[in-house]
Amino acid sequence: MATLTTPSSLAEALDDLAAVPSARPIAGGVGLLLRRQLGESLAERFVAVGRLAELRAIGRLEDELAIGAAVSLAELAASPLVRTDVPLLATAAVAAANPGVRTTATLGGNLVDRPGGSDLMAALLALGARAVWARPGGVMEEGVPLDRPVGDALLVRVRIAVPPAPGWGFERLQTRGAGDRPTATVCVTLAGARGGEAAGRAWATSIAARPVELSAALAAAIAAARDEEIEAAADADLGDVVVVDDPRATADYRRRVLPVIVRRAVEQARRRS
Amino acid sequence: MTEREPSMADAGFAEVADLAAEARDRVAGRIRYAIDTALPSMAWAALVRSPMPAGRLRGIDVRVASAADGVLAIVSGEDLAREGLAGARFGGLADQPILATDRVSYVGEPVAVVVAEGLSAATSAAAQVRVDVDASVPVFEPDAALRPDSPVVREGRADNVLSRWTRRNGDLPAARSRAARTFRDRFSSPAAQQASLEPHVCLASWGDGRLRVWSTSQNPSRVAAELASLFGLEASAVEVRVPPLGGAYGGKNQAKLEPLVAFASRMTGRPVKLVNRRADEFVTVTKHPAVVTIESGVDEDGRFTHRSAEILWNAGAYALSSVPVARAGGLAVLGPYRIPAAAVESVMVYTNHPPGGSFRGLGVSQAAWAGEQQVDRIAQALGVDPVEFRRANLLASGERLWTGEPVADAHWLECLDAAVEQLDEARRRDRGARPASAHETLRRATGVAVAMKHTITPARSEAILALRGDGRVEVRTSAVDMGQGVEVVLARVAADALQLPLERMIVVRPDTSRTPFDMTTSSSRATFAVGNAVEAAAVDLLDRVAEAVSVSLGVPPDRLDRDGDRFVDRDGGRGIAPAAVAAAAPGGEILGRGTFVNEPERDVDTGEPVSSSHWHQGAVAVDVAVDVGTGVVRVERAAGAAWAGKVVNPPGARLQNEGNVIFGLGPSLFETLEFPTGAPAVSDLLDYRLPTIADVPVELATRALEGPPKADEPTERHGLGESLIPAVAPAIGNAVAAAVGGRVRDLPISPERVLAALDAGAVGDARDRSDGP
Repeated sequence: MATLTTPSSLAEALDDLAAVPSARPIAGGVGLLLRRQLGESLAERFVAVGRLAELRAIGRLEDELAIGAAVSLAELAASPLVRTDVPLLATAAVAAANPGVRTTATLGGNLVDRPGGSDLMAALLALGARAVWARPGGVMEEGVPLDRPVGDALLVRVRIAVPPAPGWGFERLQTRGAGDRPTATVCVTLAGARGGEAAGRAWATSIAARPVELSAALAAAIAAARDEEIEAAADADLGDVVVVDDPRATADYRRRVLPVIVRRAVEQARRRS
Repeated sequence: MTEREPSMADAGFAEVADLAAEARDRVAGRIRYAIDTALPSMAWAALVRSPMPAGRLRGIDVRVASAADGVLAIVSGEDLAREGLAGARFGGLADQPILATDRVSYVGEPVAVVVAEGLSAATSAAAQVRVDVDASVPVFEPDAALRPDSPVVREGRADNVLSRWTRRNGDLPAARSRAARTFRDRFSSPAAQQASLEPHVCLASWGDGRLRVWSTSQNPSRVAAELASLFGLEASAVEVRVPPLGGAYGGKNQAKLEPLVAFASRMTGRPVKLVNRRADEFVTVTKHPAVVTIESGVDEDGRFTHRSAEILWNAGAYALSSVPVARAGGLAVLGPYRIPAAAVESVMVYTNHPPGGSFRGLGVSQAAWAGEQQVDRIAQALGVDPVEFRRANLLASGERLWTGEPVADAHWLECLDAAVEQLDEARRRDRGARPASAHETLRRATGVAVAMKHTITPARSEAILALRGDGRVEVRTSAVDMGQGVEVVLARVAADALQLPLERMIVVRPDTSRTPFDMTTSSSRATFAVGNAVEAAAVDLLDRVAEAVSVSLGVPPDRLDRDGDRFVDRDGGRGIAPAAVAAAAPGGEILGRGTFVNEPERDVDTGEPVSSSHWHQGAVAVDVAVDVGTGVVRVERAAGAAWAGKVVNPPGARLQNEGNVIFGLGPSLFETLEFPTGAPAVSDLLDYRLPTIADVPVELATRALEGPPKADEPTERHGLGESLIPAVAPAIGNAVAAAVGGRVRDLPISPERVLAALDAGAVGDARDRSDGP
């Protein structure tokens, strides 16, 4: 039988996590519910982190936006700061789940539970976000690239440099109207495409076990390449990536359509930049 | 075993005294379903299932599980053997054991029941039971199962053919030689899940030699008879009650959990409840996969010279409804067209899949997916509008179906015209089209299809109407409410026939100790068949009331006039309310009884009975938008028209028609259930993709068409549960083919298949250009 602890501070939570090897943090409980439904074995101890003040804040400090890992997707989508500074992230939060799930699912849960398949992961990577992790004993690791989770540490918050590149594109391919995990998600940011030094980021999730950086497609986008060239570059980005084959779509299908949605995301980003 | 009175468990389940309040409670989520049943001292069951698709069951190791806290018993095939029930069989062909005894035939077959004080104790103990199977080679595909060297799934049978339905009519070789063009195609449909929100549930309790069962069954009368037969009881010693169901869609036809739960209750002496988990649903029953090979010939004028088809069905390991599915699909595959010569062979094959069962549309959807797509392909090849091609070939009343039998009451033309007209109206409202974003390339097109489905013929339904001393009338039938609104329909039929307000009706829910026989609530037959039984019961009740009043007043019945709530003596002026007579009657009620059997008409020329006493008839028209970059299909507008004869409850009829289209979207676009190694590849509703509200077309228009009843026959109230469903997938398939140039031949119409069809269309789909596959 699993136990639940309800620490009142981050320090206590880290102690609770350290005390039992299989302990897991729990916030919105969406991942737990899914694992239970799928009959997967559960942790011996759950440590409730959803109400910890350190994980609940959305704050702007000069040129950085910090978002706590226990902020719900609904709060993320509704936050004026997020909507103004990083509309890509607000868009991804709305797309990621239905309204009921958004009220309970958290940013951290989404990132940690579904490293290869999260809409928010794609958005944050395209925004160049960095993570703050805390280890048992209170050791903080700042500025960790988001696609590199830190083993047994607890995700505390993500930090995004603002303002981000003005051009952004979000494409989520789903095969039914709602309620689906994505078949593929692509996020692109573009800055300074007209004059100045062009820059940007492009990432895909739900296409492989880990997020896939779309460097060639981004380079083509920055170089103002034609549609076919962007699609060819995205195809090259997939290279020897082992593409996911699951009940939603075959690997062949994902390979075929990824270039299409990359090109569409680039078009969106170009229009906005 | 001690008697445990149901008491609280019946509260709220037994009857509906206030239909309006019940409707409000249903919308508000306050009504209680079968899953809410409970009895004092109730124990919980969890199933131990076979991990292997085929093999000899060597034994089960229950040592760890039986020592777990709260476990009362672990009931298995050994117990069945001890009780002399190892050889007991039930189901469509009496081929299904209560629990697997010596062989397992599919992944998920129940091999033991863990009974414990609580649900979690039962579930966790069940996970600790080890099942030892000496695995043998399974066979999953019907064509492989038909090979001479295939393992035989059902011991004692010569081969894996479960049933073979064949029908021929006319001179096929001569017709073939007359054909100007001949088309041959192959289409397939995969397994799917009925996916009612409420899973299968059963609660059983024994006392005083009687067995009481609360079940999610769609056919309580049959389940009661099967339980009586299995356990050697008098029919009257088994009571099956069915509370409102949270959906069924055919999946709750036939006995499934009831025998093993009843047995577990008998072995433990406790009331035992079993609730399928979602994953269990995926191995309890599925839609039959089918492969259809179909040939059609047309003459120079674009009229059919002949059609023929072979259907190969995957029955899974047990028969359930496989025999009627093969027949239903066989009857429907060639469609409601004028076909001078025809032949169909419909072969149902045992495999090591979980058993196929009834699925809303009963085999007709698989058939129409093939037949109606080929019709479009022919029209396309002839350069004729698909609607016009159908108009030229559809049957009219009095013409003969491909089987040679007459169709007295044909309305497919009206249905087709009404569907097309509604789609036009929907376009004029111009709300359906989702605006394409600037970077999407959408191709839009329209598709139509028609559907024909039999109703079970012959079949029997009975009804009792009981006038009580308080003036209210109990409507007692064994028709199951599974969300389709049958309670309101039957109450309305009774109220209309008795000329009483609807509010006086009390609907008594199925309880085989109290409600009379009904064959099944399926086949879209309750409104028609049970409705007619209720109407007959109303006529009988009025006669009985007149007799009773006559005796009470001492005047002959022919001197009585009805005056509102009273019967009065036309001559003397004395009168009395029937309710007062009922109050004084034995039992405090006057009973009217009605029976309806839809005996098939016989062909005047051949004397042969027709296949169906009437045909469910419908047509669907859709507008789709195909994203050519991703292959994603959106149905932007849908219109359907179904023949209703006479609509009893207009809001309910509309909901049924709309529900048909929405339900049909799933198997058309999303749903598929594969068993690559015997176990379902998907067993939850996250990955098993039912349509969501976001997939429902913004414009969804349906019509229930009415017409005068035929002379000398009961009022034709057609059920509407399935009239449109079989047309949904081919209508979408036809629209997609028109949009992309190639044709998807295998369901569902997934984005990947649409892209393949697009590729084929870009070079001119070779199969669509030529006559053959």
